[in-house]
Amino acid sequence: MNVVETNRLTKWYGRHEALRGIDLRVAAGGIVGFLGPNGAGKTTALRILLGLLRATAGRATVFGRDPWRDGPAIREQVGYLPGDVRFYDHLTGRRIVDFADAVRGSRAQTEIRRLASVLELDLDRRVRDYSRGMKQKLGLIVALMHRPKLLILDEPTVSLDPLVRQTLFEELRAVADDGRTVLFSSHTLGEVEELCDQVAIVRNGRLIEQDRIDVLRRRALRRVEVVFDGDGPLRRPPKGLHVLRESDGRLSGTWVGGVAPLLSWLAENPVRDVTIAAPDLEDLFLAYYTDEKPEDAA
Amino acid sequence: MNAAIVRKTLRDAMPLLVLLVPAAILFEIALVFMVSAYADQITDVWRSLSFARELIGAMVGDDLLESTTPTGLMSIGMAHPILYALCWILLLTNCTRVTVGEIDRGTADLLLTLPVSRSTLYISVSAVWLLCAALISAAPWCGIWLGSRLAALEEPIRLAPMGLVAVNLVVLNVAIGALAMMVSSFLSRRGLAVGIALGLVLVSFLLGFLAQAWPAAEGFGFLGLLHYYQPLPIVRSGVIPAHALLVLGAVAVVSWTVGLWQFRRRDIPAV
Repeated sequence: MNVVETNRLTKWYGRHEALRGIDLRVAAGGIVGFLGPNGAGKTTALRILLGLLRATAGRATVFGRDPWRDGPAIREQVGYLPGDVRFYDHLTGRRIVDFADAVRGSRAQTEIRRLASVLELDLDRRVRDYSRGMKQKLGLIVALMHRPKLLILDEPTVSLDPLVRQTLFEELRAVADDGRTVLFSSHTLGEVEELCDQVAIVRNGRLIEQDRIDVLRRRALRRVEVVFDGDGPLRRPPKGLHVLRESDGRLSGTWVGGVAPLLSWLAENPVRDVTIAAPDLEDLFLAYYTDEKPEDAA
Repeated sequence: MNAAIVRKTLRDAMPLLVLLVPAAILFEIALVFMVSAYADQITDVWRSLSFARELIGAMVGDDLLESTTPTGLMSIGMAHPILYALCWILLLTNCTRVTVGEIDRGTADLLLTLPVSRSTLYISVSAVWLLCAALISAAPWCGIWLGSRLAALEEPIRLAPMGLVAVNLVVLNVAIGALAMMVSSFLSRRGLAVGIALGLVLVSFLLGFLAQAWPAAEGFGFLGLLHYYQPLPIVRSGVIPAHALLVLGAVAVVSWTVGLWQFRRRDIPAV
């Protein structure tokens, strides 16, 4: 069952079309990265899922329900960390988590203590005395404390130092291991690659790719460097090897997909040395981010 | 209604409430003492200054020199600009704090992603400002009651008609609060919402004053909210005009409902 499903989800802000018919599917369990450059429409899509924005056209469901009409019931089971987290500056962190807990029915005190300890956050200080990173930690506690079935995080690692970032990733993996779902937006490939099972890529308000990371990796470029004995290969390179440079018995190029045809071709040639790099998602994503199609990048 | 949101909103409202309600009570006590000590001198000044007489008449709804008893004179206390200022500060602050203030501050993302509906939030916030409106409207009556017990008056102040004026003041303040809620529901900048709501109330105040003091504007007086709050006629007759309560009540209900309708359907933008 899909926890999140959108069909031709569209959002206009005045004359600007922020979302252009997005069809997103997020299955239960696992961590899904929502990747795209700034202004791509990630936050708009997430805010529609939370019932903060109303879709101009199309449909969104969370747990099979309409977030605009059934917002409170959906949000019982959702935790959310906004991109630019803000709190009541005059209150202490504890007052804020206690307030959120009270609205939710006061059941999360044990989890609040555990999260504050794990994230090393002093809840007894006023928010106005918190650094940006500490506010981000407080936002994470508010999002995680009721053990939601769906966690929506909008660029959660902003302002976190590397150690806390790792702690957060461990928490998110634990959430996923528990059968719950994490949907988190980012514009940084590295953290999506490190953490997510699936990725959805959005650009200019369109969903241009959604697949498992390992599937995408198979479609990603590998850098290939070959040194031949003699002037060069005896046989024509196989289809799929995109030759970038070939001279003086050296060939540089890129390869997409399974490497068996490439290895067969290499075996038929007098190869002195060969380097086949690990699949490079960076190039694939850069191709998605620009007007190039991924195939063109190869 | 959500108890946790009511508690939080009440806690936020408390500093102004504990400051302004006693201020209104003290102001009325001071007025009672002034009336007890200087009633004759005050009325003499009004008699000699026709502008002051008209100004006060416009404030209280009739010519005060025809009712120079302590009860009549204290109707000024129920329509004094200082009392209005205390009421409006409390109401405009509280009615714009959540619906537009939270959006402006960016804290709406915390509040509106909790499992409460926007209607529940709006109703919970309304419960708190209604309480504020009731307390600040009751404060002048309490001040007059306390003042009349403390000051040596030639004749006692009749508290029953003053109570009726306080009831009219509650309904007026509820209408002003509901207007502010409605304005807040349409906007995303709190400063702008306060400015517009205050502008509406000030225009209403000026219109009421002009309608009383300037015959040419008399025909437009009904457009201002303060046209439906005239303490002196109530003090004299001992009856609140039903149409005044009906008009103020209708303004309150319509504004509040339009505000709720808009707040339920509006987008909550990211900061």
